[in-house]
Amino acid sequence: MSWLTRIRDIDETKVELFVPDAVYLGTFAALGATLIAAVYIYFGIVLAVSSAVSIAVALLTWWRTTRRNFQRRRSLPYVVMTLLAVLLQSLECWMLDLPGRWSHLALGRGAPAFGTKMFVGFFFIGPVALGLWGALGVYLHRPWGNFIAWLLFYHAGAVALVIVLAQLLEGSHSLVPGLVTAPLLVLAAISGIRFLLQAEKAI
Amino acid sequence: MTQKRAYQVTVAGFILVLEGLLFQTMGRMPAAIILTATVGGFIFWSLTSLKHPTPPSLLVPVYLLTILALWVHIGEEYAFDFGARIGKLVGSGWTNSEYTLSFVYIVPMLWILGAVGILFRHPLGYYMAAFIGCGMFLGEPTHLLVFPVREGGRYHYFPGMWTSLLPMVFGIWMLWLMLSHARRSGKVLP
Repeated sequence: MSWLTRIRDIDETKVELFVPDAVYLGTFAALGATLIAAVYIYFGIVLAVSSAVSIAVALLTWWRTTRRNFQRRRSLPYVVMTLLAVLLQSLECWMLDLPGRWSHLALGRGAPAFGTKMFVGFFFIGPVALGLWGALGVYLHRPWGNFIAWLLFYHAGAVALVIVLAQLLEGSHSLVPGLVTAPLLVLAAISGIRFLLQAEKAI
Repeated sequence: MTQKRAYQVTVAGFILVLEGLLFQTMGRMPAAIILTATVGGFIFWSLTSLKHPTPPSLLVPVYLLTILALWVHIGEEYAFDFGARIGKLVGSGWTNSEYTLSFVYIVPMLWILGAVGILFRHPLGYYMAAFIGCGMFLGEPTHLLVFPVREGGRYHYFPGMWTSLLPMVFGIWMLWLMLSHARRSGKVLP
């Protein structure tokens, strides 16, 4: 059979790429594990554990809930509210120089020194970009959109709790940057998680 | 000799030549990882798609996705001098030039040819898919779990680390497609 004949034999019918749920799970887990390694390298163990918990819980919750029931467009206001809270906390951390103070705090002891750009990139610009991408996914009813929504809520909650824990360890003699806006993050995160869980129960 | 047996002999020859070259240049540890992938791929291929080729409409998109992710990973390794770091780590003296010649130029030609092979349902194309799938599964986690730890000191960045796990996911997806199709087509594996 000649080369030209074989080329003519290639099927031209439309092919759809079906992505199984397990591939989404594997992709999220792979990217999450890489992110945790990066956070550990550049920011130390506390923030790496916080990221690991957010990612693991988001994966587990997504797998058991909105993986199958992904019509959750009504969760978009909660996603947007959480993004705004993340941005407000970023502003506070940036103005009061959390990166410069982190390794001097009791909770951040032993962490490598890192700059403002690195911190803002990893903990605020990155999550906000991811959250916007997730909002698009939620709107278009894509399974990955809901995973990102879960991750955003858990990330916001975990970051706020880390700041609160840092403040508790510091005592009352100094204010840890990010504490003033931490309740906003907790409120946004809890509202989003509650909405998604209630929507799940309604099915 | 049947046609299938002839392909198996060809692949065995390829493995011998490739491994001979790799053991001589890049060092025992990385060459052993690739040896396991080539042999694992050979066994997997012999038991599955050599007997029951997966339809190209199922396999080609995932194969292309895998080699795309792998190509991005190779890009990261190349940009951050993976070759010299591995050479130093295992004491083989492998250089960036040797790495570039083999893993940026020669081996990717085989990956790309593999896509054409699968499109034409050629057995060697399917071997390449099985080899890449096993290689991703065995080799990629080493960038996060083995190399930075073997280098010593605080856990740190190693070239290729950021992009190593995604090709693994796609590689496993590819192996699963080949296995599930072979299972549906006949009694191949338990």
